[in-house]
Amino acid sequence: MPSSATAPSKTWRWVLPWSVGAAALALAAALALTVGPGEFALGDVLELIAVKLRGGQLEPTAEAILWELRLPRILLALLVGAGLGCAGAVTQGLFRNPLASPGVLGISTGAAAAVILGFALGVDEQGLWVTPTLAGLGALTMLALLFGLTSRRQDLAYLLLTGVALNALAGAASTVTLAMFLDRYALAQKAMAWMMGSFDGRGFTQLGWASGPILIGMVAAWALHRPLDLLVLGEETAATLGVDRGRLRLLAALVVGLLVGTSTAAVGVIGFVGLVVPHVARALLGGAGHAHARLLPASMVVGAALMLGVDTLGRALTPMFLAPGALTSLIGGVFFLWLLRRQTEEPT
Amino acid sequence: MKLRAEGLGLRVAGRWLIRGCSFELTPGTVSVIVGPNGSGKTTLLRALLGLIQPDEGKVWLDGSPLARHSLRARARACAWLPQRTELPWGMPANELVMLGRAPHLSAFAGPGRADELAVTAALARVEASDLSVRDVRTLSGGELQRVLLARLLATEAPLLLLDEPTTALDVGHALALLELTRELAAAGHGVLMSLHELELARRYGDQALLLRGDDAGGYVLGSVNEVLTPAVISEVFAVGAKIIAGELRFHSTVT
Repeated sequence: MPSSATAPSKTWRWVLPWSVGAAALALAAALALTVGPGEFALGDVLELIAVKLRGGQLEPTAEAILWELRLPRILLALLVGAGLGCAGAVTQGLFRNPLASPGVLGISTGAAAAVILGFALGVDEQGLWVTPTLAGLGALTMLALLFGLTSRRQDLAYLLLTGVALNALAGAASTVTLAMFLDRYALAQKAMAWMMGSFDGRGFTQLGWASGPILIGMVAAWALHRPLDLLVLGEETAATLGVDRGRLRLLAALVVGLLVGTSTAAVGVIGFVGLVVPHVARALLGGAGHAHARLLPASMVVGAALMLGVDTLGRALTPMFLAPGALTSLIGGVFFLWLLRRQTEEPT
Repeated sequence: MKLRAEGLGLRVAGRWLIRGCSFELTPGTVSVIVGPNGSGKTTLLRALLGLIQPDEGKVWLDGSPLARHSLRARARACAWLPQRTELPWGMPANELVMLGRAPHLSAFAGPGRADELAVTAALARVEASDLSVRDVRTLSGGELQRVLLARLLATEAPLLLLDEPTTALDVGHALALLELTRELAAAGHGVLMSLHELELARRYGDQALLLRGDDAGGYVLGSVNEVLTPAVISEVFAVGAKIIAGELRFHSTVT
């Protein structure tokens, strides 16, 4: 008797949870559309989708609130969350370290410092591409410094302490830049608002230029899944299994730079998403979490869900302003301490 | 499939670990590298794998220099067991062994039926079939070494390079592992390993390369019985050595 008659086929075992996950995420996004001022129910949201699929228009208030304000913001939250979750999984794989993440290692702070320098010099007015490019370059600079400084020693404490130092340096660079232009009130306000990390006032514009690079970054990340798997054996052993170490580092750094840079440019610094998300994804996947072919997509889904939840919570609490970046750092900081505690009990 | 070093010279911090050395690793034989601590056994193995560039000479794989072969082609020819592998929690042994299939997989397609069969066969070869779904971090030293060796076998590389494979093992497991290397050689593999235990090297090796550790790159190369003699050992390791009842015995010369 063929085994497929008794047990569900292997493909089916994977398709089912992924479909359920995607459907749950879509439903959550639809529900998130109803949150906020104005009496909209799930029915209105479904109507919006139906009308828009036919290429029509809603009545003006609903059109403005649902279509022009909330939908792009929600899509942006999903996109940024997926990108940051994915970047976190790549970073952890690359440094072979569950405590590594773009936030902890100073990569996000580096991106932010470059953007603030751009604000101060006024180059961000030159075009929409300037801020994302600066953010990407800032992230890549930090990665290059990390590689350079940790090439001799690869242990956990050394990597994290290097991250602490780089975080402090990049943070200081931002502060110094701002201090030099303190008399320009508008600049300070713009920089502060941006640094806090928020989806307020972000819409189709940011979604327009951010979706391309983030989607490309996520596909490119997935393409690196096998070499990232092999890295668990150590860099040299991975090399004896056909991994080109230099190329992997370069490509992974470009991917992380692209994802973190674009996300940071779009919505500011959203800390700790890259740290928390891959752990949640691993817990959901169980033993299969070691395979990046599954860990990377799962991190994207979990990241998108987390970002949507954080942003929706923030909107539900309006008029109280709760910056999503602050909320993720709050969750992430506690989570990091818990991880650190577990790491020391169960040394890896 | 042959791995050949020609006029190999390796230098670390101004001192030669080995210099002007030519030898060959061929299928069907077990070669051992021995030498005092810090004499460069691991460095030599890394150079033979192409992980570092030799300071002099060249490494050849079959008819052409190692560097001319793609990383994938090299991975299919030579498999490497490092001295220590730090592994994450929660990884099942069969997934670890599956990593050895990487040189045979295309960039995007997942492992297929043939790869699963190779993993099963490799685990069976090292008598670790019952460990296949165990978390690798919960394995004992001997069990883990067998699973790691299965990872090499899953690669189906004819040449196996092992860096002190017996160091973390008790004597029973060490002997079992060395017996296994002999069986693998009999089945057509070429095995090259560094070893600490000179008597075991003599008993299980065919060819021996002894690094003198004299900073001038001195070495002794030949069959184990030519190289691992009491005279050479007393000189290189600064101990007294004798063969009693066919076995090497040592005694300290410090009085």
